[in-house]
Amino acid sequence: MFKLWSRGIRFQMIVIVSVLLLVSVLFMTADMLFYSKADDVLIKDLEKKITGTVQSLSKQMTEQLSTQILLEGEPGQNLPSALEKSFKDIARNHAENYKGVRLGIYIVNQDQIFIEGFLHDFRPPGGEGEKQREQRIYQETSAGIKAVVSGGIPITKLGQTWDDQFIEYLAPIHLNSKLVAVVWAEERVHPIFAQNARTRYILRLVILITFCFGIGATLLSTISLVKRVNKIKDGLANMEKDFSNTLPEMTGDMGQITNAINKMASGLKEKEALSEQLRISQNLASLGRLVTDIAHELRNPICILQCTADLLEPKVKHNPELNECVFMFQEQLKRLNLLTEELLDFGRPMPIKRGTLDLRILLESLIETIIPLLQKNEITLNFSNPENLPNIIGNKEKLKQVFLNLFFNAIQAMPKAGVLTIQTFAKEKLICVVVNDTGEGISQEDQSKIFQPFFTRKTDGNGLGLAICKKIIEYHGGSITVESQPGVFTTFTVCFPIN
Amino acid sequence: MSLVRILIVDDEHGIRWALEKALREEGYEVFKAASGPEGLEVLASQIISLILLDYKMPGMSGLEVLERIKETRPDLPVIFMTGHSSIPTAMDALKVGATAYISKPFHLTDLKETIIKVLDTRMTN
Repeated sequence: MFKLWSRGIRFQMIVIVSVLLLVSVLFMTADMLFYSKADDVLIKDLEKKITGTVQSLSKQMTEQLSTQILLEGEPGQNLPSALEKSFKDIARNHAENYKGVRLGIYIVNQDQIFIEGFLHDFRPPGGEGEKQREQRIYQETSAGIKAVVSGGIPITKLGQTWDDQFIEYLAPIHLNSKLVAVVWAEERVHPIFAQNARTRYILRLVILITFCFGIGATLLSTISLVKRVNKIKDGLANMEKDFSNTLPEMTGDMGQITNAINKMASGLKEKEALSEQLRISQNLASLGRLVTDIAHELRNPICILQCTADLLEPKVKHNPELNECVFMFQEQLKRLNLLTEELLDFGRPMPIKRGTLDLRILLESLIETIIPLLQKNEITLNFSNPENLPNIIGNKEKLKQVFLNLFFNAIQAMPKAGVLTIQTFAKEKLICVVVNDTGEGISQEDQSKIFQPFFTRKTDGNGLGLAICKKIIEYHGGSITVESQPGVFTTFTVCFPIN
Repeated sequence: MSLVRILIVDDEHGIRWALEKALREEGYEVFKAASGPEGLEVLASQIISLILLDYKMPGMSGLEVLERIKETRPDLPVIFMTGHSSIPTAMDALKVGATAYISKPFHLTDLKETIIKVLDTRMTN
């Protein structure tokens, strides 16, 4: 078998089925070619015996009748009775010496036969009479008789009924080159051989059908097994790429296997997600510390620059050129200050102070503050804020910061008019706020990055706004997602768990 | 009006330089120290009416210096300079006895206002 078990299941099955097939075919061929020859030998033997008997019978009759003709002249009208007498004399002798052989004579143009001897030793009591028997045998033999009469040569016939087989030899008797009668002998092949042959035939048929059926069923089930195994194989390859690619549903044992694998994969996926989350939060925490340190280190140089600029400012008031320089200083210092504030905000641990909040009131107050900006940019506001929304628990100032950030981003994305849609709704155990703008949109590639710290496409941004928003939202147990089609729209959805 | 003598304790040379310049312009007499121990030395040898004390310094921190000052001169006004809006530090400083705090980076005008406010309170007391 060498390395058979390390080969594919399809190959293994083909080898096994082929071996089975080969062995069976060899045995059946041997059986057909050699073992059934036993019957033929027996039949040959019987044939020889009855051929000999008939030849001897016909020879003796021909000699007897020829002698009669020599002594008494042409028999003429008496030929049939001479034939009958001669047959009975000689055949009886043969039948008595040779049990189980039946001899018969048909006298041409007489439409009558005579029989000596019996095929069976056993005869039922009250059986058919002599005439009836002769009639029956005549019917059975008539085909052979006709053949010999018309052909003029002897024939051998192998007859068969359901459970019996017999052999016949028919030969013509010529007198003066004229066919005058047909004599024959017949003998049963022992019934056990006939039955054996039949049984063997049926057995072979049954074995063949069963075998074909077995091979067919094996092949079908193998093909189906191979298909399922291949499905699992392909499924596992897909799963390797991504644990969310589950294996297809299956029935039976394979179904149990795929279910177990799917269960394992979803467990691994969960674990992977958790460790990814842990990794991200660890990264964020260390990033937070780094950012805080940097911001703290920046405060002294900024302070020195700020004080220097402040010192310079009154002194250059009357020199427009220098005054402009100081103004630029001050502007950039403001920016640096804002950046360090935001960096600290990002790195700072969240406040512990939280209370029950009505998002509706919070949003309304925020929208009031942005209305002048909306008017300036010719932005239409579409604000739907249903009452009776459940409260959430959170830090009011931090959440204000989140929504202001989202509103400002939306406004910045629509410098030349547009529609800002703000909607709130409750969904299952969440309360969600959707902020949609008809601005420039965000490319698919950028959508996955916009919540990362320091990622920005704005020329004057520091890339911290959305990172801080996400941090605050996640601190509240919520989530923020983005959906956008560049040039068409951008939608941010913020959801918080209901108190 | 007697001359107001201000001691600046900060490890940053730039801060000391800028504040000295600004405060001198305002007519204050200015002393400088680059560390806590140096500041305490100046305090022991000079008559000081107000201290500008940085929080974050290598070696002795601003809070430690503040504690030491409070041991010898409990009534001396101290303006604490903290980092970016680090309120908890400022609160600690006030608890230990700082008179006021200002967060870095600040505008000179804010610092000057704080100094005047602190000195006014001192005068009325």
